Amino acid sequence: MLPELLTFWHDQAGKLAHQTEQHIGLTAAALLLGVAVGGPVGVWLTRHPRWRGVVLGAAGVLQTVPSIALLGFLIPFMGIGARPAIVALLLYSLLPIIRNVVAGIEGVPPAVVEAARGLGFTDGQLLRKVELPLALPVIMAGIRTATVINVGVATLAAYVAAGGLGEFIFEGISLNNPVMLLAGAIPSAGLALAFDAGLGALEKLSVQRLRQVGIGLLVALPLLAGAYWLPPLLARPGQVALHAAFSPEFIKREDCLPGLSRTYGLGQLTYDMLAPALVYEALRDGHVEVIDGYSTDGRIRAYGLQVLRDDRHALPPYYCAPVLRPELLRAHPELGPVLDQLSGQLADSAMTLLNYQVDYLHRDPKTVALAWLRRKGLYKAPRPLRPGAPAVRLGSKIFAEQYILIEMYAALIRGNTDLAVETKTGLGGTTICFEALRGGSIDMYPEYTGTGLQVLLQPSAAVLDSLGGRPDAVYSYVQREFGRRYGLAWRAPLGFNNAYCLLMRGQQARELGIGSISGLGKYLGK
Amino acid sequence: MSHLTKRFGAQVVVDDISFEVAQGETLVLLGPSGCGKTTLLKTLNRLIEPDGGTIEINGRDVRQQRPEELRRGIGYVIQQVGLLPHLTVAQNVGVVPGLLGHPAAATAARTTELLDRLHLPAARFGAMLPAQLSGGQQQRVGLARALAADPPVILLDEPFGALDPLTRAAVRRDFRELDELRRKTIVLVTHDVQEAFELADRIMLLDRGHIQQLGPPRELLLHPANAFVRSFFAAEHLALRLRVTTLGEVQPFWGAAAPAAGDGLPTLPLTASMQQALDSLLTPEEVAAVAAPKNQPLPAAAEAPADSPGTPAALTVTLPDGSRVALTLPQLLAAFGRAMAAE
Repeated sequence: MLPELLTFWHDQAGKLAHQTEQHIGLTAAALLLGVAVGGPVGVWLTRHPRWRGVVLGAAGVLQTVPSIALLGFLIPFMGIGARPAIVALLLYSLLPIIRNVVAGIEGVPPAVVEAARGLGFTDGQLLRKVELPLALPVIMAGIRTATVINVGVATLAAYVAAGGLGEFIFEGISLNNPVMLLAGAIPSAGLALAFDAGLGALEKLSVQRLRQVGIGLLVALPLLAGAYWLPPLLARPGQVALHAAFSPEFIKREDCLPGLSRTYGLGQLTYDMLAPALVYEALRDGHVEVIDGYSTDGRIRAYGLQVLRDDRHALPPYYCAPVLRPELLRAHPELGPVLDQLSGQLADSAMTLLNYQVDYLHRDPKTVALAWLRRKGLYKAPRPLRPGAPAVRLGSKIFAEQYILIEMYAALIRGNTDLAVETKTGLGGTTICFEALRGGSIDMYPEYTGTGLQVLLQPSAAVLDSLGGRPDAVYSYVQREFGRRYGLAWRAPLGFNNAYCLLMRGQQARELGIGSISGLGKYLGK
Repeated sequence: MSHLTKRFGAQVVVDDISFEVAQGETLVLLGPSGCGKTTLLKTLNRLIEPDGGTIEINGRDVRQQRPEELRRGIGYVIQQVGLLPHLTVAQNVGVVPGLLGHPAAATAARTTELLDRLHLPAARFGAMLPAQLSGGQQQRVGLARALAADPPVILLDEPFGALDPLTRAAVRRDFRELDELRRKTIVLVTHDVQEAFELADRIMLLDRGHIQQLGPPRELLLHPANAFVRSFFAAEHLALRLRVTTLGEVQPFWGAAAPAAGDGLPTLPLTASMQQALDSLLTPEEVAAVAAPKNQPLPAAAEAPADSPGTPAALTVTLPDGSRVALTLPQLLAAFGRAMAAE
């Protein structure tokens, strides 16, 4: 693994340097703020001991909250980017700093404090000339602890578009690439050690040198922290600067951003890495102008977002169709036409609306499915079942779209045949569903052509090129190969394509006249 | 101070106490644990604020000044010493002059003077840190620190309490012999009766927040105001009698005394106490010389009694007419015994 690691670092040296710089900036900024806030709070607590339980308890709670949850909580108030990251780091470092300030000051022998007061020190002089100098070793230990914690937590900053060494780590996770993961993790650990050693050396300096270094740091640290906020690219007059946020997987997958960028000339588009869970809200709230998403996600409708048409078919197709065991149809031939009742019936917009009703209006998938069937005139009341009637076992993955589809199929089967239906929903992920189908635990589940191609069949690059991303070519290939390799059958697609897509705010897309990805490329090239 | 009252919660620690201290006087606050003496002391420099009553120093209410300014004009010595651990001995001594803005050269000179006088040569000890000193040495530095800015008033709270008996005696003696203390007003808290009798011009005996008696040591011992006072001194009565009884009071009882032989013996006036006489016969230096810790400089060599072991020790007493007589120890003790019997 070592040679690959070194190669990776060599190739990505520029990015590594930039991320390290961002990481240092985040940590330094949070450290300065942590001391600026935690120091006075700690001192205040030594003068008002009754509050100690409350304040230290609160700081402790802040630290127990998982860092990513803390980040997620701050985003609605602070947006994405460096600001919530630094605030989260600040909150995280408060406990060690405050606690050590309190412990350090209270560790000063009471006789010394009493003597100092008796000699005529004011409170301020007592603090500055007696308590703080004597408490310094303990306080520094707290600061060092906080710093090392911060370097680690700062890796999460990448998830909220704040950059840092976490970017390599997340890309490594999403693509299951350990080299990439280590490429980010090792420098991060090294940075933690460097900070700790640096602070340790600072502790040993004599008072005079400390003043010089302190002043130097006061100048350097904000510069370091500020270098991070490089001014955004100047937009030409009359043009809106477009900035994007993409999820880690989208950035790295060849058929996603790299491929799109080549096909449509999107090189001018600046972007940050952002957690998939956060991209929709970031777009809605105006922090970014373009994101990646899934084309039937309910939030597209909820937030008034616009899918940019993939007019050159650069993104792989993910047409949904049921995959089933041929034995099922051989045993119950009447099933075929029943299942086909849904073919081609669900367009993107229809599926998006149904997803929206379940995810955002929090309606029950079954209710939503049946209502839609009724509107389409496809609903039939369930037929009475004979005891011992054979059951069709339907499986699904764990998101709303799958639950809705399963309920539709279940209703159709119950209404049109004498078969019973068993649903096994919530099978976690593609591989699990697929193995369940192959092994015979389920008879059918809804799959996507693109997933079948990329994840399950995994053909060579040559084959992928030859398919060229055309929906029908991909479908035919997948159908053929599934039959050949696994003995499984694909029915006709339902009509909608739940693929990766680029999204913009509907209003802005209209204002700028961008309706497709080509349009975006043209706008950027202007 | 007038009508001083201090409560901690429901407990009245100092109950309506009023007294005056004259300038240059040494007042010792004496009493059992919990009698309020330390609390009382701390109201003088406002480390504790009284609930009722007023305190005036030189006619000025202490509450008119800011506490810090008040305290810079009052020397303060505590039992645990409380030297600032991160400052050198010299820096510790110079703290209050520093707070007052005195010029550094003057402070340095004063520091050297005080340390030398307290038998801690500044050249050697000035740059040391408190942790390098023994308990006795630390408290000497504490005394120097309290005196550095030449305050008119000094407060001491059981200053020798943390020292072993020999060191305590040595430090106490050095303290007593500091000339400048004669002009200062000193208030000292102790529960050590011997110490009180040795150092006090007047003793204020306290019990449970009330003054039991206030007066010179002799008066408390010989004319106790109540049963508490009497019983307080009962256990060490004889030892205390030795301190308050002068050679003059014993003179009628010592019979014929030989004229003083030479200049080799310690000499005392008739106003000296029996205790002083006994001390000079078996001088503390000799005792200290035997037990001194290695890094403590030995005090100036005492005059050795001009006798060898086996022969009784003696001292010379100067009479009012200028003549001097020699007295042996047995003679002295017998005289004392007859004086007591004659009461």
